[in-house]
Amino acid sequence: MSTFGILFFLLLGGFVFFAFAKIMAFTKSRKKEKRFLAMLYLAVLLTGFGLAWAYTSFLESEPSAAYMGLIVFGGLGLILGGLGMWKVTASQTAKPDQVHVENKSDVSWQKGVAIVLVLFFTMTLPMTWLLKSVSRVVSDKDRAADFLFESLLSDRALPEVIRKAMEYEAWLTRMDDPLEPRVIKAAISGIEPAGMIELFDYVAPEKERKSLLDEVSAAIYAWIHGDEAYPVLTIQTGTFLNNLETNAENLLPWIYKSFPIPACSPGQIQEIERGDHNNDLQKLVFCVPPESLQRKIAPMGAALIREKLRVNNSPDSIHIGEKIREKISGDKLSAAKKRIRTFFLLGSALWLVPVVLLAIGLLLAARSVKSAVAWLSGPLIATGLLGMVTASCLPGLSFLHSVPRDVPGQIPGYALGIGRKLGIDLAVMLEKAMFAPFLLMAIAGGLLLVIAFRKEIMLLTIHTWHSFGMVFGRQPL
Amino acid sequence: MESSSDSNDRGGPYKPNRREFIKLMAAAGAGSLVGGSSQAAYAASGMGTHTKPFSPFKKVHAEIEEMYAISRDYQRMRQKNTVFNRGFWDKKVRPNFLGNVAKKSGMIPFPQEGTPGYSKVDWALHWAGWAGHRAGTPLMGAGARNTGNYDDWERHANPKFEPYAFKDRAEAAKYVKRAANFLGADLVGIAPYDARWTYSKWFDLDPSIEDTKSLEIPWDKMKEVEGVFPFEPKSVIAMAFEMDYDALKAPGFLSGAAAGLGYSIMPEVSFKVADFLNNLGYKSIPTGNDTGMSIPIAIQAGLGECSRMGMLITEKYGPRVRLAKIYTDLEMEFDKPVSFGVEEFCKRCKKCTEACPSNAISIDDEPSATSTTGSISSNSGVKKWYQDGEKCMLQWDRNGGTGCSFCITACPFNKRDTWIHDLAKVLVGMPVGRDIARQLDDAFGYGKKTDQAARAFWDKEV
Ligand code: SF4
Ligand code: SF4
Repeated sequence: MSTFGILFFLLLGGFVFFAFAKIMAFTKSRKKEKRFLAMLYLAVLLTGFGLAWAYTSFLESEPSAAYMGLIVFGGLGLILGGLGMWKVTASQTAKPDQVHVENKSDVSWQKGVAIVLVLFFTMTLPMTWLLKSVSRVVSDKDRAADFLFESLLSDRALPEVIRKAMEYEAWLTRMDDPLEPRVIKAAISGIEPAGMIELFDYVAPEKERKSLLDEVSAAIYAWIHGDEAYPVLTIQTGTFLNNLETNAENLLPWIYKSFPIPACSPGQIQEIERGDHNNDLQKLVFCVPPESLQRKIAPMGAALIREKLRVNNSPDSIHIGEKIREKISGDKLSAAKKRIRTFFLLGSALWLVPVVLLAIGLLLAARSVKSAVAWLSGPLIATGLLGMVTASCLPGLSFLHSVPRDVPGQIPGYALGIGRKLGIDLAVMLEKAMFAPFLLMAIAGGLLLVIAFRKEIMLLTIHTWHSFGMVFGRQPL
Repeated sequence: MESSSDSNDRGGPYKPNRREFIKLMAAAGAGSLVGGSSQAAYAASGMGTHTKPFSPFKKVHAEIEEMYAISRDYQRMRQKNTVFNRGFWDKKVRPNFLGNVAKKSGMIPFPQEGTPGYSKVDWALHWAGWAGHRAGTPLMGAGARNTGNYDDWERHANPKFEPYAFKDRAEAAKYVKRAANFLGADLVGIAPYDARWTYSKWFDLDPSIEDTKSLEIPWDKMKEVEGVFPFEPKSVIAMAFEMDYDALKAPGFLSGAAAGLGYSIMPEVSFKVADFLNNLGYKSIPTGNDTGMSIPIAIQAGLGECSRMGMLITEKYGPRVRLAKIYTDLEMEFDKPVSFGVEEFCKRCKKCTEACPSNAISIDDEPSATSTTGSISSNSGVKKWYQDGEKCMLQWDRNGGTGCSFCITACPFNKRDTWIHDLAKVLVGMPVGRDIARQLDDAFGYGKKTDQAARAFWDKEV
């Protein structure tokens, strides 16, 4: 084992040994609190186990298993330890003459309700916070547009989006599907990222894609928050067609460069020079001619592309609102709008419910500032840990990665691929948005725990120091 | 396959990046203890070395029938019907054979800079992994008998020396196993020769082909021949070769490199072991995917159990192995089949089914005695789960012949041999524990191919 490994496990062994020694000392003097002392033993074991797990998992190149181990085992250890310490020290400090004289049954029902509320807070805050984080992204026009742009339409994201779309297209093909589209898809997924960006620059450069997305999101959010039955949205496709026409001369060389097409044989070169391609674009991209010839035929290719555009007679603009009107009735759309608004509202406010319930729980249970701090520390640590676990699990959720078995026929593969990409990006973003606040909660809970039990902790530290002194022969303080 | 976006700013495992490190430290409050781990520490810690795996619930069986019901009318399989061999003659499989579609579009190889697992260096490693196989016996992976320098049945079946007299069968087994281990096998076991697993007819390269090293061998030169051994085999030495854990966790070319390396080692080591037997005066025939089915032989040799995904699951490496076998006339002490809870675990787990991109792995709760796939590549008669080789082949086509191995990576048995997974083995032995182990495996993030793993592969300190 490496020196670091030896040192690590020695330290860990030392930690467990001294913690056990300390608890044993407690056990001797306070026989009655055995249940809570057992919790302390378990807490030490779990914490030690969590640390050893994390160290080994890192060596195994499994970082997510490492910090999950820490959070789960270490977290459980901390909670048990905190609880055990609290109970042990509380009974240690409570003297018979200090016991409250108030009605015992009052105290127990209040405590009972408080425990339920605190548990409710602990369990529900992570989920409601998650909802809040989702709604924060989707309910704000600018944030949603930025997210969609970064995840789907930016130069950075586009190649990955195309690759994912093609990958899912491929996954949903069957053995007896025709060969040709599969060959084309395989060819598309082989285009280098730079090549994909270059192609999009010819048709819709990043800036134009961004402003299109801003326009679309402005129209959608105006529809959500306004009274119109249908979104008022017209996409000016003419700009993109113009771009295509302007850059048509670049397209042929781009195809030659981006696809692994074989070089033309002398015979094929002669055919192209003679103009035997018969205005057939496919024949021109059958093989790659020498560069001098490429320059010569690029305008020819451009003319063919422009001709195709003219024949297709694509519209200069598309009225999205009208298109939706043709397919969906106004009532249905209004109902959907209502649901979206409710989701936004609930999403942004629901997290307040557990917080308010926690406050009520504290009011019911706490009898002094110290007990309020103690009551608050546990739920904060627990919900903090739970939130961190939830956040860490988000990007790995198996429905985002495993391959769907029975996809309804009407869902095209590429849509599934793009949807998955969006889902994964959203999960990564939510992980970041959730982890930090819950980490802070756990730390705040830990600090409150220290504040509430500072005397006991001091005592514990001094005793441990004494034990060290005895073992290593040094004079204690 | 995961997108780069799901792990875009995470660093390699041996040097966690700042974000991860802070998360880890913050979560534990133990920064100074866990930092600074290194691959050197991993290697030095004894993990991954040749030690016996921890096996709390291992059961030794007298014969394979104690583990799997085998029908009385079980028919031997024609090698021609294995899905790899069908790539040579069956129009249904042929267009999908090993990335043939991608080949047609000129997309093999298609390195993509900036895409982890698909970059030029990944591509280069992929082909380097396969290099031994390509140079030595290029069609072995597809199920043909060893070719080129590794094809020496003539010599292997006619050793020049008198048979060496071992004290007894146990001694013979001891020496052969140690030799196989020394020559490169990670796991070795010895099974009695059982004709049921030998293909009823072999599908082999036409012997008139001289240039067997070329990848351009015409496909119609594969011929079905009557399967006859040049001698009566008495024992079969089954060997398993570990595939690299880190490479298999990465997507694309890197996991293909791990499989390729396995395929390069298989003919080389089995050839050497056959040579060892020849030098002792015994007849031997080294084989890879040809001549007989490797998995039942490996089970009889005690190397592992059959699984839902159809692969052999070994105790030490899980399904992360490639197999080869040597038929010999040397009589040795046989190993016994062993079980350690795989079938029971598979009934609940189904992680490989979820992970398989082509839905080739059964979702049925229970194994069945007859094939459920409707494909001639599944040979009925043994109670097990049947994997659909045709669908699997389609996936290999889709990703350009770079292999797939999602199932192997996803399997909870695919772990390094460390103490934390020994604890999981205890869970696997208990009915409730299986569900817990399955859920924890997911929750702890095991079993996914990630872009991060591709970066970590190259970041690993050597
Ligand atoms: S190799 Fe891939 S396609 Fe084949 S069974 Fe495994 S996961 Fe499925
Ligand atoms: S992934 Fe699960 S079901 Fe599949 S082979 Fe492994 S243990 Fe069995």
